[in-house]
Amino acid sequence: MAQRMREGKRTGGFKSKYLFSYLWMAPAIILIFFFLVLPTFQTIKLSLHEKISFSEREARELLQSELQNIKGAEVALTDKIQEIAGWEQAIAKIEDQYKVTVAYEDISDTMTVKQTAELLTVTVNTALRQEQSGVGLQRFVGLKNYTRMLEDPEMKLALRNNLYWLVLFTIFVVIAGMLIAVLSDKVSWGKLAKTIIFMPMAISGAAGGVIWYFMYQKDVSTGTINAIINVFNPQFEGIAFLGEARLVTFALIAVGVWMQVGFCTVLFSAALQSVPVSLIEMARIEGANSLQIFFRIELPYIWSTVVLVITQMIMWVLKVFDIVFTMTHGGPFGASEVLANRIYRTDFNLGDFNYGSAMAVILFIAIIPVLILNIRNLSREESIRE
Amino acid sequence: MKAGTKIGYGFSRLSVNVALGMLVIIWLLPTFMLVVSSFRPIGDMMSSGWWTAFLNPERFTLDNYKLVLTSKGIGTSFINSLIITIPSTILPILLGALAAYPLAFSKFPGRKSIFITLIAMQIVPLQVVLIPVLLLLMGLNLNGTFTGVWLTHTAFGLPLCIYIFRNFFAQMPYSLIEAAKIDGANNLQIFFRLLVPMAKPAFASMAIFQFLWVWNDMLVALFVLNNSALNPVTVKLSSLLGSLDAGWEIMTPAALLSMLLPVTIFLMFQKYYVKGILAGSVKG
Repeated sequence: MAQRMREGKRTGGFKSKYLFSYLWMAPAIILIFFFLVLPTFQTIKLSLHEKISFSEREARELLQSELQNIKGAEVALTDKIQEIAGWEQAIAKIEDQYKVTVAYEDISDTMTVKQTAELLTVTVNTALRQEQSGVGLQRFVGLKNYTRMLEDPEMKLALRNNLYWLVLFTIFVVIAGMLIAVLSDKVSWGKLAKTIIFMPMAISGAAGGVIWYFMYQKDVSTGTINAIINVFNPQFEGIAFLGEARLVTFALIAVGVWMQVGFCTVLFSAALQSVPVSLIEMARIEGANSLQIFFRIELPYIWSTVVLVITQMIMWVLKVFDIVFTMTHGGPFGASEVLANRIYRTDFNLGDFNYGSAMAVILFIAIIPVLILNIRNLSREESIRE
Repeated sequence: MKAGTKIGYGFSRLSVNVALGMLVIIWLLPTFMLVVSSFRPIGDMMSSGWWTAFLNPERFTLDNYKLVLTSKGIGTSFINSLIITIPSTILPILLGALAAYPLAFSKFPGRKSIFITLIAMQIVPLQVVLIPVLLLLMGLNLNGTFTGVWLTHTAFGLPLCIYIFRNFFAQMPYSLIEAAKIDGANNLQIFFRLLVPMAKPAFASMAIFQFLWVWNDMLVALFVLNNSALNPVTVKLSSLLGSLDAGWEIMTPAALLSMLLPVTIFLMFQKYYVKGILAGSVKG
């Protein structure tokens, strides 16, 4: 084998070397292509289509109007269909529109328009059922799924909440992460402190959700948060944080901060350690106080890390799902709804993959600016390395 | 300890300690609450705060744990989580490392565009691809099966794995590989005998990352598994909380048990986890 390799190198040249490259990458590339690259485009396609449904009423109305077009006069449902000249054309049109084949011999000369419509309903729905393993028969509708969002009040609520998350979560998580990183660098037990604060990163949104659901209990004698408020204000009767439309999103954002702050701390901590001690010493000799050192020296020095953390948190927060899904399912009455949870509900509770896909595309579009920033950063690093 | 920590900020050492101490208590409190509550009888849990439990320590009980392991399919969901997580951790690491090897060392045509695609795919939100993935698995009759979930997690984990391994391999001295080639080693030998042992930290980082990601995942399980008999513990917990058909005597120990494995692994291998984050590991 080794012998052959060396010979191949001498005689076969580069081609055999490349073949090995592609072979080794093949399993990964195939999976990534079919599970990530292709689906991205399929989702865009789905978002521009809608599922064709077909009720008997639709069949009647469609057939009647087609027949009237052909005849140029009123057609009653009780008319015999074969007495209308050119009735085959009307059927052919429906066949074409729903991509089905109708057995013309089943349409006897005694059948009325209404009875033919019943037959068509059965034929079309049988065809639709055969497609049901997938997305069903689809019809191109352009941007209809997108314009639908503009009139969807729940969608507005979800986008507003995503905006709350984006601003409040990002600010709190970055500031808390920085504070913890700075403080834990100053004490001997800093490493232990960081470990404790990282820990929620290792648990699931579901477990975090269960914990905080219990923390937020309304009763001041069992709900930890309400009990703490009660200590400071004995008249306080307790708030149902997850039941109040005004508060629920903020209550969930706090859970998000609790779970994600460790990520920020890790990166900030490492960046702060990289600030040259000599720089800080020099500033101190020149009489700078600690706040000045932080804001004038350390923060500018680690600024690229701060930007990185902010972009990562923005990407995380746009996709926030587990916490909302576990704790409130978007409730009460959609008050804590976010885009990702709405996508899930549209896909599975409403069974509308097309509308759900349009929402997913919106989510993707929101992430693209961050994506471009990241690619640019990474490929810059790449060119430095090479 | 590096010198910088000795310089301090000029705030009194005490105030720094107190401030950090308070933050640590705030961060620890919810988990501590869960631990204490899970050992209390349900009657106590619903009538008094967990902080009062220490007044009657004799009332602590293991009953909740006995209950949780035998009821409502929670035990099964733990086994499901393990069945889902183990192959979903091993496969992307293995396939990712294999793919990273030529990306790091071979100058084949198209490697730049493949690498850029990988970076882009790391950031695609899973919500964007999950419906077509579900349809693909339906076509293969793999929806609602462990195989379907393994494939999905493997594919979703691969871009990050390849990226991290490629960067790790690329930092290794190329002369070592040249030398091995001159000694007559083939690519498989170089990979398994030279690179894999040297890249142990990268393997450790990715294993922890992928393990935690899959163990804690709910989204993939909800979309492509969606099978109540095979659901992992995250989905089980979430549905118990949502339907409120289980009381807190079941939910508190179940949540705590679900955290046990990831938190243990996290604490044991924290160093590698942090290294992974610093090397650019983020999951979508």
